[in-house]
Amino acid sequence: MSADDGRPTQIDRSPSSRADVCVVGAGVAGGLLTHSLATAGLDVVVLEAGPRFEFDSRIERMERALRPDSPQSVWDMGGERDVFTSSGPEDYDLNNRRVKGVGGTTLHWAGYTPRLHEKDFEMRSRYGLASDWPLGYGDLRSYFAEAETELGVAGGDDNPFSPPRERDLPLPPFPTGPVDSRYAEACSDLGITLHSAPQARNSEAYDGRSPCIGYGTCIPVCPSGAKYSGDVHVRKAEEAGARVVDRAPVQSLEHDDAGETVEAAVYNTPDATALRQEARYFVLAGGAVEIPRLLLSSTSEAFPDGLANSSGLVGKRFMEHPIASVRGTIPKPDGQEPTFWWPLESHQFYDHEEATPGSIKLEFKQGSLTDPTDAINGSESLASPLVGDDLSVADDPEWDGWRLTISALVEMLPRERNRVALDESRTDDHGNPVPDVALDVGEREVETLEHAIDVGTRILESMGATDIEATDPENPGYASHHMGTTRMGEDPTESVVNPQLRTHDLDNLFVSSSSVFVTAGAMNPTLTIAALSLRLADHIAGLD
Amino acid sequence: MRLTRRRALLGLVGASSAGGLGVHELLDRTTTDGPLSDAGMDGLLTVADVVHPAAREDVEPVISAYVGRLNQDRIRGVVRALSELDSRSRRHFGSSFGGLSRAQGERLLATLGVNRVQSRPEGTLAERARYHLVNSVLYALLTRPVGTEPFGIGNPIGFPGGFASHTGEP
Repeated sequence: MSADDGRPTQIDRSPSSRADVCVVGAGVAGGLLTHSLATAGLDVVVLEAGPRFEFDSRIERMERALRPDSPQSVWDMGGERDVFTSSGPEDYDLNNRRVKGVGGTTLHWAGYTPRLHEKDFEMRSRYGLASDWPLGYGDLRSYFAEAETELGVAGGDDNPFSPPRERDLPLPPFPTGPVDSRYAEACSDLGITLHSAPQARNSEAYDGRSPCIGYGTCIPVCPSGAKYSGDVHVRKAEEAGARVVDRAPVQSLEHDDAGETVEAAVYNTPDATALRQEARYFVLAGGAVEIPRLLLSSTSEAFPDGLANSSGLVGKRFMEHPIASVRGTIPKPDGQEPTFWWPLESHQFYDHEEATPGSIKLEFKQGSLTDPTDAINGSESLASPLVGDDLSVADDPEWDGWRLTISALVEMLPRERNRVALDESRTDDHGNPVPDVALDVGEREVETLEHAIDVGTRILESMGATDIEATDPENPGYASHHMGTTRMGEDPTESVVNPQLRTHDLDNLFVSSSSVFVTAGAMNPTLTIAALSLRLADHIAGLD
Repeated sequence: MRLTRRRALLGLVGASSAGGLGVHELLDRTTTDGPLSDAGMDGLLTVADVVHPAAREDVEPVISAYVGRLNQDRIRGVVRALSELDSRSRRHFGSSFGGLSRAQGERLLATLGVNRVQSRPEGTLAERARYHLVNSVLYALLTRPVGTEPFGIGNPIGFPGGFASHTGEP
């Protein structure tokens, strides 16, 4: 008998008899934290809801991603385990935006790792918006650098808009190509500066992993392992003595009689229910959807509205990064091949004087006008433009075109109406209420999206692009960056965790996740998640 | 039609299998080259002729390598569909499926409705043929230069062509 991933199910998933720390979630946050704690000599057990994915399965997962008729999702998301609802204005496709398993959502991330800027921690002080973080850029600066080393970030020292930093990135930047040069020339004419994009993707061999060999499927799967994912540090953590239990979804957290400390994480396995893992400290290291869900599900007489929720803010102020995109077409340049990561960004429009429009981060993308795999008909439609009734691939004139896309991540403010709650009307495979996500953009986001579209359009027009079109600012796409549902702060009535990421309500319960973000900035969040995790590891190791 | 060594041998196989090739004849039992026999590979080459006639001539190694990466469930799906197509081919054309010309192969697939059904790994013969044969062969070819260079793309998505291809340098 074997599991879906080919591993035997007769794995010992019983609780560890002695654990200093129980970490819930084996993604990038849990992996880095566990590795650091295990290296410091602590006994750590990690409970991960999803499976271990065999590395060798990634080639087959890539086929799932590229074939529109694939019956399986790339990372096996979906089904009764992952039921959710989306009751807000945005019909949010949550399961396409997260991965449950060892490695977590970094298994399908883009790999971009910019630092937040100083202003991101000071939105109230600078602009009178939202709240300041209870810590500043200076508090995280050394942890950003450590995270860049751990993840293996490639990039140059050419970013004039970068916050202060202490040393170069560990890997050289990715090379630029003919279209990148055209982007740079056009932007230069408009007074816009481009620079290398920091990314946790190996531009040369690093940390035992190969350089990128260009499969071009970073989202949703890197078959070569050149792109960092959280399983890298989970593996290192196990080598340092940590224990990782997969397929062990935590159902609830139990506290002591006084309601001051968590005593056990109650989890299920494929073969057993209601196992109890006790520990001295507990760290929730999942995403900003499952963490509030677990806390809200862990009700008791002392915490009728959910554990650590005396502020009533668990699940509230959910944030994402709306995306503005402008697309145009140019003739296919000689020698330019499709690649699916992009070496250039601009942070020129990130720091701003006025409150609105907010921060944007510009990305400069490109690719063939038609993806060859579009010719593979999907199961929902046979109307592929490339394969006619005779089944053969058409000689499509659009092969001669080249698509330019300028995208912007846009800052979203925290708002009460955007939240993760429990949908009591539906249950998952263990009979638990499912998460319900409500998400919508506000006026400031719309204005910022319009600003980004204006900038992108000017650039494409100056490049002579044709067929320029932009996304709808009122109905944007999202970057799959989940943030803000257990926010950090000094005031227990206005936040869920304190600056040390310990919940205000329980002395031994910590959160290591983008769920603690107070504001979202407009930078990809993973490097900040990593920096916060490394900082928390130092804190917990120092408690002994 | 591409005349391969395997196709040249196919007449012998076909002559001894008037009722159609069974699963055991489509699986490779003698070598470690791959999971399919020569007859099985020739069936996939017939499909390749139909779905991507513009592909470069050397498609056989690409398809063979692709099939070699499939898991056992997928191989069973490929072989089952090929076996059933082979029976139909012998009835309609008096030839193995792997021995059909492009026009014959296209006619057989169209007669079965493969060009009109949605792809499904389990289902009718037409649905399974679309999933396990037509779309699988398209995937194998359109993620390799052999299938995309006719369209001017030398490093298609899904092909590890090296990140330096981004620079446009040879």
